[in-house]
Amino acid sequence: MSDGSFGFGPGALILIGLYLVSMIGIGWLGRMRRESNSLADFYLAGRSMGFAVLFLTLYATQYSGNTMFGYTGKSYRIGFEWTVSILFMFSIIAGYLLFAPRLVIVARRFNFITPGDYIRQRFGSPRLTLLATILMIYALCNYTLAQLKAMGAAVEGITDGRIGSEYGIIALAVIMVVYETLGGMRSVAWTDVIQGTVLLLGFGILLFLVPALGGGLTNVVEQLSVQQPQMVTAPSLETCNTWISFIVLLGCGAAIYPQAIQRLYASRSVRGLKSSLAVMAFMPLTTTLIALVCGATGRIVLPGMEGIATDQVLARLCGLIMQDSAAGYWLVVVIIAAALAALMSTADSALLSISSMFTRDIYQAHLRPDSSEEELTRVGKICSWVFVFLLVVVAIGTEKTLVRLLELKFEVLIQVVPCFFLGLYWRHLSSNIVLTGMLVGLAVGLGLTVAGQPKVWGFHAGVVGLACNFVICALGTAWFPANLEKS
Amino acid sequence: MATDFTDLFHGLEREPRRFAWVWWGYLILYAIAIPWYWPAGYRGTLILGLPTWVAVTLTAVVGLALWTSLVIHRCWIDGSESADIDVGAGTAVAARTGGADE
Repeated sequence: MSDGSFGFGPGALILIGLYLVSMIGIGWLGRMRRESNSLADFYLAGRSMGFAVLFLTLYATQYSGNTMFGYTGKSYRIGFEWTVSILFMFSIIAGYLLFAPRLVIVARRFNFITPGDYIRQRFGSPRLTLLATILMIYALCNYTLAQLKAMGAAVEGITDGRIGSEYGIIALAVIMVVYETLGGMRSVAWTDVIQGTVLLLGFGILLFLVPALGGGLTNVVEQLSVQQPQMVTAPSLETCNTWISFIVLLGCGAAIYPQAIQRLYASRSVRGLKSSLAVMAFMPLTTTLIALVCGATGRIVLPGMEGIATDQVLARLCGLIMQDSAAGYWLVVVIIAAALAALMSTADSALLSISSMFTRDIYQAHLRPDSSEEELTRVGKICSWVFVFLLVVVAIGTEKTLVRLLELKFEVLIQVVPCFFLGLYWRHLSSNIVLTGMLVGLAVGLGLTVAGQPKVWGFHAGVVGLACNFVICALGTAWFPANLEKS
Repeated sequence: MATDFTDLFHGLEREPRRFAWVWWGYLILYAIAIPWYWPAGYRGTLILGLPTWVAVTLTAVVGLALWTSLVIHRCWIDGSESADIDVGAGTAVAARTGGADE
């Protein structure tokens, strides 16, 4: 059997190149449709997103390179235990129900642009807003970094190593930042419409082609039962604790991703937002489930891969498909386009959020309070280029698997959760209590990780930190209730 | 100064957190989805090519998605939900008010 390595011919590479360059064209169209030179127009597309655009941009942003490459690699390594990925990706939508109905109302009333706007308005504390913003920017930098690394791996894979991953990272990052700075959120959302559609198509093709490589799913599972029985059997109780931990980690953490919150702000109507979220609840079944099946099939078809190399299993499976027939070859071209779409649509949204938070919550709030909307928009664009440059430099020089990067990001991000989940409901929750809870949660989460205890009884260190954070918020609100100003 | 948003939520006719049965539904479906009740090492017969415990978990996820769709449409009713936002209104003001309370 072939080893699954592959490289596209000139025709396929030109087609993918045109597809990528067309993203810049869409970015230019987004620029042409701008209505003002304001932050709301640049970062929230003038709050004009209807159901179709909102759904596809949520979908393309939520399902990333981690889903295609990282999750396939993880299911290759641990088998059906990774069914938890379907559950935790669903839990993000359940997480929205805990705060979105209220946040949308407040965001419309005060015309929020960033998550920091909400924290500043609700708690009235520059210190708390700054710390939460720094944590969110850190988490998003980590997230973008994972996407950039996956971009490099994808380009190296499709060119069979003729183009090194560092050049792939640089080229795709430049395309991404160009269309983003052209039209901001409008360009990002419109490219997400294309990328989300291609992503759905790519996963559909994977479902039909990949299990067949292993003789069908039944045959794959039967073979795994003989060769690696632990990969198909029910997990232990401690692993079930990890499932619960993942549900909390992602259900809380990914729901308060700044780019997700900004999409809530950008919806044209609550009805459109509700419909988008209702459909999103089903998307793990069309996306993460397929990644799980691909990883399990890869274990049978391409045995012997280990460590970071397992993140390449999907690319190598595609290599096998394209060697079968001409039709298979061109279907793989679509799959790879979908993979690049997944990576870029997630990275561009994260980058836009980083830029908005730096501009609004750090530059305007602390450095230049009197700056004009035009100046802020200009600073935001410069900020995008600077952050991309720094992240590309880091991405080229680090070695970690995609899923581990994902976990470390959430350990930090979820300490911001009480600001939203409790702040919208507990009138007497004060900024000092939230700040104390956040610092203690961080100290516990990061302290355990540094001390070599990334999990306690199967629970992630960040989730243990979040539990401490919640306890402090509850006790603090009972003992030291805040005095509030009526809205 | 911190802001009390309570008055803004009067237009929210229904929200999921007010209905206990919504969260009982989630609790039951999550309890089925997490495979804590299977003996460690159990696979079971294959259902559509999947081990029994995986098939049960996936069925529960379908149930969770249907439940969420129901909750979104029945228990999240905002009085102004069909109204489009007044695009651009107050945007410039917002940039100032965002930092005004500091």
